[in-house]
Amino acid sequence: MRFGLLIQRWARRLPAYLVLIVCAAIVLVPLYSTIVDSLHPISEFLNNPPPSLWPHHPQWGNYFSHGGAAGAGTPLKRYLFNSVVVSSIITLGQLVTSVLAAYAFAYLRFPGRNVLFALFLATMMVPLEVAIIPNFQTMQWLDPKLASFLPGPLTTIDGYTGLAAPFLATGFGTFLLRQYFLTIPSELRDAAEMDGYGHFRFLTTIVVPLSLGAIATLAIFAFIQAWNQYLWPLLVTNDPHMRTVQIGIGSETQQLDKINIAFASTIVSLIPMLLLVAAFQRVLVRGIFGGALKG
Amino acid sequence: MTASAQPRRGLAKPVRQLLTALPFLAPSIVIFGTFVFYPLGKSVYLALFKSNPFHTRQIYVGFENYHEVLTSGDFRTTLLITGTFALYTVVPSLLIATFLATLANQRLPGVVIFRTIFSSTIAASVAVASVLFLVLLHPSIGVLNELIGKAGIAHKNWLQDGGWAVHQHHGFGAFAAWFTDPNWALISVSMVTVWMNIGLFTMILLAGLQTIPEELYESARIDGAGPWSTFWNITLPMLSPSLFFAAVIGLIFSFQAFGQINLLTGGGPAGSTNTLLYSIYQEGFQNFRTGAASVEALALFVIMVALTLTLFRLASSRVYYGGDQR
Repeated sequence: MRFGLLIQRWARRLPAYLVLIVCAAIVLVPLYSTIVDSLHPISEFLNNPPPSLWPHHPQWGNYFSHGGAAGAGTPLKRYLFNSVVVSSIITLGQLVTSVLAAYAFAYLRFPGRNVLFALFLATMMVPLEVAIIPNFQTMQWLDPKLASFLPGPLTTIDGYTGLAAPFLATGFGTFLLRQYFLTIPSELRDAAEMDGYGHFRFLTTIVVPLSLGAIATLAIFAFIQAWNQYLWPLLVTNDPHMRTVQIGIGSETQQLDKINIAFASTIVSLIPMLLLVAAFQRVLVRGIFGGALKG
Repeated sequence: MTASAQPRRGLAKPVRQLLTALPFLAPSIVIFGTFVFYPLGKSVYLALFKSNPFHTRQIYVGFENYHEVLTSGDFRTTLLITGTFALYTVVPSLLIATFLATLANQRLPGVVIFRTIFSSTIAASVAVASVLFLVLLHPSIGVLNELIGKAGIAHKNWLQDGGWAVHQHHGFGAFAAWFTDPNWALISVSMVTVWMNIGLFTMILLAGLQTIPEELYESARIDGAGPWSTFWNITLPMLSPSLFFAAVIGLIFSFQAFGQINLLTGGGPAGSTNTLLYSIYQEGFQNFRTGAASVEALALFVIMVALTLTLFRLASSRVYYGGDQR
C-alpha cells in the first residue's frame, strides 16, 4: 500500500520533471554543441555537412596537446593571465575607492554632501559605452607620457593602466557599501571617538571588519564584470600579448582553420566563471537586490 | 581632535569638514571626473567638429553634425533597429525567465539542480555566449538549421539575412515586414542576448518568488482558486517588483549590447544589426567621424537617462512593493 502511494506520488511528479528536463536541455544546447565541436578534428568543419552533434572521435589533444587550447604554443594562457591581472586591479581599486567614498557619505558631514551623492548615483545612469570616444582620446594622449617612465605593459594603450583605469570607481559599489555602513550602530562611532580614534582608524579597524560580507559581494560583482568586459579592451589593445581572454577567444573564432581549438579555448575560459558563479550564487542574488531594490 | 588636525582649528567649520571628507572622496571623484563627467562635456564639444577628408585636422562646423545626424535616414533606421532589439530581447527574456523560475520554484526533490542550470548562463561572458551561438548559427558550420529541420522548420539564413532592415517597406508594410520579412540577423543577436539574460533574470525572479508568503497561496487554495487564477492573482502581482527590476536591467543591457554584434554580424548585413552603440563604434573607430559619433553618443546618453527616469517614475505608481513602501 505504501509502495503504491510512493509510485503514485512519483507518477504525479513525472510531468513536472519532464518539463524541467526539456527546458534544461534547451538552455544547455549551445554549451553542449560547443563542447562537442571543441572535440572534433578540424576535418569535421571543412566538409559540407555541418559537424556532427556527437563526438565520434573525441580529440582531447584540442585541449592539452602542443597547440591545443590549454597546451603549449597557444596564447590562451597569456590572455587568461592578462584577464586575471586586469580584473584583480579593477576589483581592488573599486573596493578601495568605494569603501572610502561610502564612509564619507555614511559618517561625515560636509557641505554639498547630498548633491555629490546624487552625482555618484548618476554615474550609474551613464554607462561608459557613452564615453568611449573621449576616453579613448584620453588614453591616446596619456600613453606616450606614461611610456616615458613606465614599462610597456603598464601604459594606457596596450597596457594594464588603460584597461583598468576607467573602472576604478563605482557608483553602484559606493551606494551598496553606504547602505551597509548605515546599519552599523552610530554608538560605535561615538565610542571610538572617545577612545581617540580618527576617521581613518575607525574605518579600517571597525567598519571594514564589520562589513566584510557586503565588501565580498561587491568584490565578486566587480571581478565578474571586469572579467567579462569586451568593448573597452577591444578599443585599447592591438597587441595580441596584451589582449584579455574575451578579445582573445573572439578573435580566434574569426578564422575557420583552427576553429576547434578556438572552441576549446572558449570552454576553458568559461570554466573559472562557472565555478565562481556556482560558488557564490547566494551572494550574487543578495548583491543584485541589495543594490537595486532596497533603499 | 587629533594632533594632525590642530593647524586647521582656525578655519571655518564647513572648510574643516570638507578637508576631512576630501581624502575619502578624492579617489572616486578623480576617476568619475576623468572618465564620466569630463567625457560628457567633451562629447558636446567634439560634436561641433568635422575632420577634413584626410583626417589630419578637425574643422569647427557648429551644429552641422547635430543637424546632419539627427535628421538622417540612417539615424532613424539605427533607432528603429535599437528599439526592435530592445523589444526582441527584453520581452522574450522576461517571458522565458518567468516560466523557468516558476518551474524551478516547485517543491520537488533535486529541483536545486535545475535552478543552477537555469541560472548558469550568467557565467557566460558576451564573447563566450557569442562563440556558443556561432556554433549554432554559423553560415557553414552552424547546426541549428539541422536541429530545427528535424522539427520541420524551414532553414533560415541566420546571420546573413537582414530582412526588413535592408529592404524598403512603406506604410503599413513597414510594420508587417517585422513578420513577413524578418531580420534574422537581428533575431540571431537577440537570441544570444536572451540566452545570456535568462540566467540573471531567473535568479532575480526566483528570489522574488521565494519572498511570496506561503499563507497567500494557502488562502487561495481555501478559496478554491485553480493554478491559473493563483498565478494571475497572487504570483504575478507579488512578483511585479522583481519583473520590473529585470525589465529595467534588460533594457539597459540592450542599449549596451556590443560584443555579440561585433562578433556575430559586425553590424551587418547592410547595417541591419547596426544599433546605436554599434553605430557609435563604427563612426568613431572605423570611419573616423568623431563628430558624428559624438552626436550619437549624446543621443544614447539622453535616451538612457530619459528611459531610466521615466521607468522609475512609472514604477513608483504602478508596481506593488508590499506594505512597507518607503
